[in-house]
Amino acid sequence: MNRTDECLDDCDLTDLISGALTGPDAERATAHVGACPRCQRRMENATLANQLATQLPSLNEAKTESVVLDDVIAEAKSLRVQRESSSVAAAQAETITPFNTEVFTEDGYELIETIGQGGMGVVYKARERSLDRLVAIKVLAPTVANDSAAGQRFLREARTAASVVHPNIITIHAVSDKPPLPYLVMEYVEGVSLQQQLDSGSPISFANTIRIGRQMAAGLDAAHQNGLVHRDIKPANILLNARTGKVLLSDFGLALATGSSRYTSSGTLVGTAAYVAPETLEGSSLADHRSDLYGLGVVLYAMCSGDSPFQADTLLATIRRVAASDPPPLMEVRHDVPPWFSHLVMRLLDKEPDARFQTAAEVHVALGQGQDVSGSASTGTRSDPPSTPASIKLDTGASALNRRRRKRDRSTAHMVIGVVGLLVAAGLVLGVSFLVSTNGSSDRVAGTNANADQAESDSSSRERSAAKPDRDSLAKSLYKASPPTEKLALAGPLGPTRDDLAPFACFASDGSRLGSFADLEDAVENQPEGGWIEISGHLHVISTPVFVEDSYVSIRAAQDAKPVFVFDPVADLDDPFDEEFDDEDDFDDDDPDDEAMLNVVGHLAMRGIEIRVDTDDWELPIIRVEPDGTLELTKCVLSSMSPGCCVASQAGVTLNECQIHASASAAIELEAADGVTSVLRDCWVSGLIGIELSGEERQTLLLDHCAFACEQSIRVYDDQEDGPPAVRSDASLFFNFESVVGFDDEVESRELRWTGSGNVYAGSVTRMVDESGGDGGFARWTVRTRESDAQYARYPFQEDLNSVLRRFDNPSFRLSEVGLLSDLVAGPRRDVLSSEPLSVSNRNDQVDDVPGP
Amino acid sequence: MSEAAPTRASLLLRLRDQADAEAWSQFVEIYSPLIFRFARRCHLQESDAADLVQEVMFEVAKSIAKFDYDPKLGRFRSWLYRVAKRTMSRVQRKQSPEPRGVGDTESLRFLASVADDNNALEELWDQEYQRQLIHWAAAQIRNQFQEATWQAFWLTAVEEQASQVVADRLGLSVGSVYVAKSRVMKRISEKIREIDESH
Repeated sequence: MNRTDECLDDCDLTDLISGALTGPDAERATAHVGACPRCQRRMENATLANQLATQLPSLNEAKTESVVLDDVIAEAKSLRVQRESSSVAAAQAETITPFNTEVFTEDGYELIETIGQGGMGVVYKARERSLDRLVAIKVLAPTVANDSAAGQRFLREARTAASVVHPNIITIHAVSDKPPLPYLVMEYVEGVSLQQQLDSGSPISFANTIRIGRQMAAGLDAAHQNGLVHRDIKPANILLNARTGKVLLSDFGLALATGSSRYTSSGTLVGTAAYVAPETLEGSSLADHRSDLYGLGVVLYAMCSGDSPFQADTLLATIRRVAASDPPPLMEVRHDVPPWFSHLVMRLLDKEPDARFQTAAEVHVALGQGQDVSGSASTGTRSDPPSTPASIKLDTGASALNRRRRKRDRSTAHMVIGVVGLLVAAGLVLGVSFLVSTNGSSDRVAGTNANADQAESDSSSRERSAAKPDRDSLAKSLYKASPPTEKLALAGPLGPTRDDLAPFACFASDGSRLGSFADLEDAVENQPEGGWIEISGHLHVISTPVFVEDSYVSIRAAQDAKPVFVFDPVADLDDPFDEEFDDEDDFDDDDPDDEAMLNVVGHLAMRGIEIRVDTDDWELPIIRVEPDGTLELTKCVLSSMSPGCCVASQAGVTLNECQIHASASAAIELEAADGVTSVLRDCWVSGLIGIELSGEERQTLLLDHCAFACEQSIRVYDDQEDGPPAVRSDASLFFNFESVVGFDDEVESRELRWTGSGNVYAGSVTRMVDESGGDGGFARWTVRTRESDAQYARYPFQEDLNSVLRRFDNPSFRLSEVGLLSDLVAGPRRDVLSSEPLSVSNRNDQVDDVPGP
Repeated sequence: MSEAAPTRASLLLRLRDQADAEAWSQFVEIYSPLIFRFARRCHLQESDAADLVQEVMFEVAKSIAKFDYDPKLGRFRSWLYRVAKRTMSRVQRKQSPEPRGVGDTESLRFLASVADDNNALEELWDQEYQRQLIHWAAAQIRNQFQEATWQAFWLTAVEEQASQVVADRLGLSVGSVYVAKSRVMKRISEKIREIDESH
């Protein structure tokens, strides 16, 4: 660099900044920078990233910065002291370990690791050698154990808890009072506690909140019936099985056993106080099973809001809140929870035990039914609930179906005394709003201006409705089961119909909206001929089976709605009451084997609906179709994590663009009459078995542009008398872990007529080989294992199907809206694919005519 | 500065050692003001913001052992953001039963307005984060420069005065003002890089 008007090169620029450039060179460079805007910019850019440089002016504000900040920093530094003291406590707890190991070894347990420790003691993960199973061992802390009374209580409660066997209560395998320290051996649960889940910051969906709440209520109900009160319901005592999602309550009765130790925890780490019922603060003798229901309420609140509403900075402040302050209604904290749920939670949180739900069974039912059980007039419509509404609803109707439903209602009524009255009252009000809007719509249809402003029409028609002369005739045609006049007579003034209270809207064939219902069952019963039901909202819980009698029912998602049904059966709670009514009813007792979630005797068409069965203790289908019925599903998702299938049909079914998944069963079970054809187009079928063909009559199956990801795509269960079942498959993908077609051991013929073109067979183990040499178009399939097929790459199982398709590069595929395989497959799958190569062939297809019916 | 500041990785690693008081002090010095200002920007009252800092720092103290250091860009920054946000909403909820004056309502309204837009909140956080890095680094290096150099930097970069004006005031050439400003900024940048490798 020689002249001052020459720009600096990068090297000089850097050196100038760092001070490496000296003497005349530096002077010249400095002079140049003073005159050259370009080099000035370059210089600035070379120093500080832009996003930082823009913050430089804020340094000026530092002068005016709060004096508080210095204190804040000083205080935060002192937190370290607390950290130290808590680590000392942890270290003390650790010292128990070597002491106890011997005892456990003598008793046949191998300690694996410490999985938790608290004021009460330490929990270890261990292996029980004799049974080679994992267990959790809880050792009572020495401070507690040394108090012999506490030790005795610990053992007594643990033994009582051990006697309660319920899927939602941690199983206690053994209790030991051997010195030096008493301990108990429990079921080991792979997963996290609800507390950990909350701490992780990942939100819990409303569906999951309901599911967890119901399972907690079921567990509490079982415990309470055995006279066992938990006394310390809190997220840390609720375990979530990582594999099955099952909710497990742990530490029953231990809070009482260990006395007041939970109040001695120090500093900000106050956990339990935020979950205890106010009456327990006054003395544990006042606590009963309703204190657990309070705890359940706080947990439900916390699942929605992230923490107990009573949590405060200090233990004292927390206790003060528990004792004296009412938390804000949940729906004010979370605007997206439905009012009925908010009311339910707030009722559980009532300071007065008598004002809460009185049994866990009630809560279980209420959560399942998703009804407004608060008794408060949130819609302003329930001014005078009739004292005996149930009988009015029940004494009408004639079909076996209605009797069936009636019985269920009655058993429920007996079970939840005082609650159902309100429930039915709510139902009646909704029924009335339905009738009234029906009137409104008849106005519109009959009137000259059918396109009038709907909102105005709706509201004004509601106001005028009571005076309409023709409402009875119209209503009667829509209400098959119960005369509307009675309902009108019992109802109070009308309020607006809210979607979240009545998400099931009925439409007439001309497209006019007739009104809406709180549950699907009522909507189905009242759907007019040729009309349809639109479902709004997102989550719906169904607890009792719905029947489609000999009518045509059409159900679809409302615009922009993605309705999901979660099936959570209450059958277990109904049973004791069913027996009571056996003598009165002339029809066969509810045989659970007969009932699916949706039972189709007539005709059902559904579009855009998702139905999930997430429990694993339900063994029945999601949809069952009787021999004279029909089923047509379009763009639906059915998913069953239970041993029950998704569709069990004794008639032909038609599925378009559906996703059907069954983890532990066949996705679709067909047992149709001779010659009946079932059709699947653009469907995605996954699970253990794709389609199961059973029954003795010959069936035909048409598959077009479908994808299967199953152990076996098609499995034949019975010898069919009129000849082997026929499958015509075109442009479909069969991705199998076992084989494309399989036969049950009982099946002798092992025959299936298979025709088609353009299919892709992929999978790890076998493919079909035609050995018969053709027998009038019939093929005899045997399963032959291919040991290896090195030309194809290996795939991990949880792979997006689309990428599998790309791999096969088959342009004939146009499978629409295929989701991620990993979304549909529950839990980790066995790792077949990582050890087995894929084999692919489409050479085996015989291109025949479509088999005739 | 008598000793080299720890790098970000080693500071976090040292935090896990509960006996390392110095690492904790340094961590608190760097990050407390950030959380405090972030809370203030979210319209929390001063005393609530102060409480929030304690809450977040307590959370960090509890969970730092679980935080696996990953030099991937911004990971620590967003981890701290999540802790801060979570704690803040918890504090907010606890206070909502008894609103204490305008600040609370305002901050609730503010949080509600950004609740749907996580990006907006995180952007705010990122901004405050950058700002805190600058503030901290500037304070750390202040003593390494002569008064005139610092003034040249301060008047131009911070007070955003024209370099000619600054040059006249300090009796320097415009070129010298630029060099002085660049030197300080360079040093700030180096300082920041010691604790945040993303810069």
